[in-house]
Amino acid sequence: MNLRSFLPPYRRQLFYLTALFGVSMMNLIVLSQDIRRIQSFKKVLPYQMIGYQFNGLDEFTKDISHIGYYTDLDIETDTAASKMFAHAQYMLAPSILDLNNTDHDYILFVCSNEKVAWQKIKEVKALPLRRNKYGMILARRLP
Amino acid sequence: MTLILTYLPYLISFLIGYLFILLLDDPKKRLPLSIHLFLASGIGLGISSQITFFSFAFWGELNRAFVIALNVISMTGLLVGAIVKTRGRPGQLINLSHMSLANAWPYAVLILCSYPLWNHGHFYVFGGWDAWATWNLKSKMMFLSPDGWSTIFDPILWRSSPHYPLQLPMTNLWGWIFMETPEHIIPVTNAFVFSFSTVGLLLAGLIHVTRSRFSVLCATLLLFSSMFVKLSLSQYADIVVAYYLLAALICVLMTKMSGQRVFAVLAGVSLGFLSFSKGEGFIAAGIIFCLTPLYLLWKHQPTKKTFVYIYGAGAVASIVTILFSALFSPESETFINGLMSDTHPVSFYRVKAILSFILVEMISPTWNGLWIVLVAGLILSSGRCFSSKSIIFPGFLLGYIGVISVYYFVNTYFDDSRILWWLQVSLHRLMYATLPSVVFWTFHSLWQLPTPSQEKTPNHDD
Repeated sequence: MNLRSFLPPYRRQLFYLTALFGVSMMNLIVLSQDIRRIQSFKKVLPYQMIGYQFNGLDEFTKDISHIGYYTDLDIETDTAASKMFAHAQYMLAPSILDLNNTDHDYILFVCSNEKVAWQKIKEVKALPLRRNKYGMILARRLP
Repeated sequence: MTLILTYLPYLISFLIGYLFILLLDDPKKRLPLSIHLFLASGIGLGISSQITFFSFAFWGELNRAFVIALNVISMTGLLVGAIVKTRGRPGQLINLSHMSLANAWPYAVLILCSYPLWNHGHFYVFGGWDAWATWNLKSKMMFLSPDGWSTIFDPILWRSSPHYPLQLPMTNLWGWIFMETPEHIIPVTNAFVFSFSTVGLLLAGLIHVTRSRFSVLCATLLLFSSMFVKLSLSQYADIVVAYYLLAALICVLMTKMSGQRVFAVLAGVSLGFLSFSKGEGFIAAGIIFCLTPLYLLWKHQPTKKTFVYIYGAGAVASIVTILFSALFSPESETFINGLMSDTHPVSFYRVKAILSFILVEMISPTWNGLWIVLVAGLILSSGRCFSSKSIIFPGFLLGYIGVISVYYFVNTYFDDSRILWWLQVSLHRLMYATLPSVVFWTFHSLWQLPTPSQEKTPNHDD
């Protein structure tokens, strides 16, 4: 078999193909590390979970159109708090979460610690309806 | 049973896409099967997605009977049309004329190398931030809310950009059409189908226009890139933009090269679907719509019918975009015109930030040298990247970079203190959406060099 007939006719094409191959192989090394990492995760979890902190609340919120979402963290500057809010919104959809608006009948308290949440519940005169094992509290304002 | 119901919408959409293209195809000059298949998957899903949109436009909610019936009627009608066209010869339904082991191996490599796409996608089932905060959130709300899609337009949800076009959420809803709950397998499958079809279309298109099986290296270049894999499976609309952009550019190029009706119509359809995929897709579609006549007329004499096919199909496929933009889409809450604003004025700092960020992103280690190799390929093509065949690619890219840069400059909602953050979280995705098209352009340009037998003088190259 004539190797020359298999190769592209121009050296610049050959050079480019070599570069493509080189970058592909470099990428493959990085990607194989990702694959190995995922395989090790899969031994513990079948897939990545998000918003598990809000598990169990959706059965109580599914018929509520708007829910206040109270947090003592600043979601504009705190990425983790911002992500938590986005997760809560996704998990509890189609209910709409209204950030730091405690005027709604139902309010979800997601605080840095539960003490702060209970204090705020008292302050807005609400009654806790449900607290899940992650310390998320759904409360209803007293009329 | 659950498995069948999960993948049944994809089968219906694929058949709609396949039969639609078959009906447009010239029996004497059939499309290669590979291009036909990879176009069918995206075009079919696009049609089903637009049908789903009309359910919301008419009733404000997901009317399952309407969506299923219209999809099944479309599929049946197209099947009858295909049977009539092929005069009942089943062999004519699939073009196997180019199929051989020698032609099939690049696709076998494609399937093998797609394992990371499948593996990663089925682990990160909820996708990335914008998937749960925007695209999948809207899909879930439209699926579950008793108030239908009015929920997603609630001003409280301004963080999820209610003004964004809804191609991807509608595709998710179509995927859930036989389900009671919005299972995460559907957004995962959509991301995989669009990613796989994008790379497949890139490979099939390159093999078709260059006749080089080395094109397979372009597919591995993308499939082995952890950045490409990550963004493809983030379940963002960027992969939808990437797919329809590539499909539109390839079809416009093929329209000029072959003059075939099928490519002209599919170019228009892809542009219509591109315009409904995302704000950036809308801009991209607009630029290509404007450049196409100039491109087709340069050193070429297209027929009037070619323009009728492209713009007729484009107009029909853009009806949904026009209806959504005119009647339903709320104003953007995240736009301030810095040229008119006293409180958020534009500044020269933004120009420096935008231009330097584009360059920094191209050499960023996260891309592992991918963009550098592509630029090197363009330099090696010794100007053929600007040939009359290829010029639509640089023309589009220049226009796109220009419009996007102006948008970054003018929109001072993200003021000078936040523009770097904005560029950091968005520019790589814009570049990602154009990546398959740039890979196509680069490889196609280098393979436009004349074969040595065509050279007038020996050793004129290298």
